[in-house]
Amino acid sequence: MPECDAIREEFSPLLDGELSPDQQAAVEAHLALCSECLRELDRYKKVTELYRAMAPVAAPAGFEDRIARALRPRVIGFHTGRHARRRLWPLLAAAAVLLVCAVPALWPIFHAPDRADMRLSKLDTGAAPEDVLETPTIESKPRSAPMLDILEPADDATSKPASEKPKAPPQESPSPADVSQTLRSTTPKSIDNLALSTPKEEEQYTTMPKERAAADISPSNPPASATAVSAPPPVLKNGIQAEAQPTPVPAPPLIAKEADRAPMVTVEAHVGASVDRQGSPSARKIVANRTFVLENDIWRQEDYAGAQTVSLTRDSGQFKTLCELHPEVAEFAALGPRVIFYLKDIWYSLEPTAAQ
Amino acid sequence: MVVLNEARDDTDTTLVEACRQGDINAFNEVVRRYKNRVYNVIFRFLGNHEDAVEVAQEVFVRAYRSIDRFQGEAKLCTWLYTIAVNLSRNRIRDRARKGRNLGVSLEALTEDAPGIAQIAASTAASPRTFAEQHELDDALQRCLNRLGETHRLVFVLRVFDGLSYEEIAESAGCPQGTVKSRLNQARKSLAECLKRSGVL
Repeated sequence: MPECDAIREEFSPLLDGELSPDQQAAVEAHLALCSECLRELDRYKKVTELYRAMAPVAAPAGFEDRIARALRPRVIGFHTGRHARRRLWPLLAAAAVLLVCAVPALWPIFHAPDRADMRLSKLDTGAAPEDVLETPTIESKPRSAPMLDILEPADDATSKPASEKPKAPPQESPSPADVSQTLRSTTPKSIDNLALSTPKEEEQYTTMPKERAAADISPSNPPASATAVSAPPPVLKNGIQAEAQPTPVPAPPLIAKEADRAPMVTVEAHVGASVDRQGSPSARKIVANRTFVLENDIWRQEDYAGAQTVSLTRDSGQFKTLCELHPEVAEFAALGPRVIFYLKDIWYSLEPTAAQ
Repeated sequence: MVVLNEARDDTDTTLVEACRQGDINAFNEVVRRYKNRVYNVIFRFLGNHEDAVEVAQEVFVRAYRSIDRFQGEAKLCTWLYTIAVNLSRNRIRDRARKGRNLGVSLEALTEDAPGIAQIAASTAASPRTFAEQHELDDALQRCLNRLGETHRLVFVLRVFDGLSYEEIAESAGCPQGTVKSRLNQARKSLAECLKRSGVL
């Protein structure tokens, strides 16, 4: 009926309280006579009630932090952008100058494979490893020294003919492993190692004789002498000698201090977690300041005491959301296929995907 | 429906003015005050948490960046909803262009929300009641997702946040008469859908 259609157009405003008293009275008058329209209105009313009864969904935890993070660069740019840019120019100019100077200096090193061959040939002909091992000398230079100055020792070492170098006794020629290590420490990579020497290189430092260490501490000293060449071969930290040694050589204090800084007890796991080795296969890991223990192929947070858990699968949207909102969850997940962890008053049990 | 203390306009005006002066704490207060309302509406409109989080975040970021453009003629929440509506529509178009389904899944409804998981873990209600409630919510959300974008928008703003027709018209950028007819059509379509689903 046309009248019914017109009246039903007013159902929503009626339910939402948007009709004037006159309009409302007109609709109610029709409803008193039309049971079909009354039923239809009742359906609309139920629909509205059902949706209004749905649980409200609050913004997830950490939402404000997300916004703060998203705004941070903008706040800086908005309030201090010009000043920041002004401060940036000298740095950029310095970086450009450094680049222009460094590229020609580095070019021969990167594009002269014969130099590495030269070192090999020196070693093959009995040259002492210390003659080529320039890294400790570089390390002893002040770190603020210009890069070109730092490069000089390495260049010297490679530019001198092998015949000018003091020859070592044939029995002291290094093993292939030593050659490999030597090349690693003398190739251009050593430039990058000025501030960050690898533990292996530090280990090498502990093997240096006292005379060599003293020479290294003083950059003005001449290159390693024949005395240093006749020094015994490497001794590892744990006291095991690589080759037969007449007398063990103690590490110089300065170098030993460097070596002490090397991570001997804890290592960085691939997820950035600190892993306790404890000298045996790991059954306990610390991730994001939480301790996890491995039991029955499940990594559980140490303080988990059997409380009810909410199950999560790795391919679920909730898991992705949690990872997004709480990055540490991804670190927990990296522990293994099954992980029990605590987050925001809930114990979660992370399970593999169906395919797994 | 989200129940929050209605922000007084003068307080909002003060906050907006402070935001314009670069007071980040004032903006934090705006976020704290409106985040749940904005998020709830966006979630119901888009139907999944993944998009809702991103869009809601973008709403506040855009609001902060364009706070100077807020004239104060409308309510702050209406202005926020206007941004939310535009960004949500863009998201729907992006998803459609990429051929991705924007609708909510059962898994999304039952597993996506940590809040729901929390209820599941701690509620005194029986597991059956909890499951039934989620089954119902799923059916309701599915029917809502089947509505056309424009009808769903006005219905969400009206039913989940209680905006007046005038405010809806402002946020959605359409006349009040259109709001009325779209709401009516939305209720009619939802009633039919829910009847087919066995809910009504």
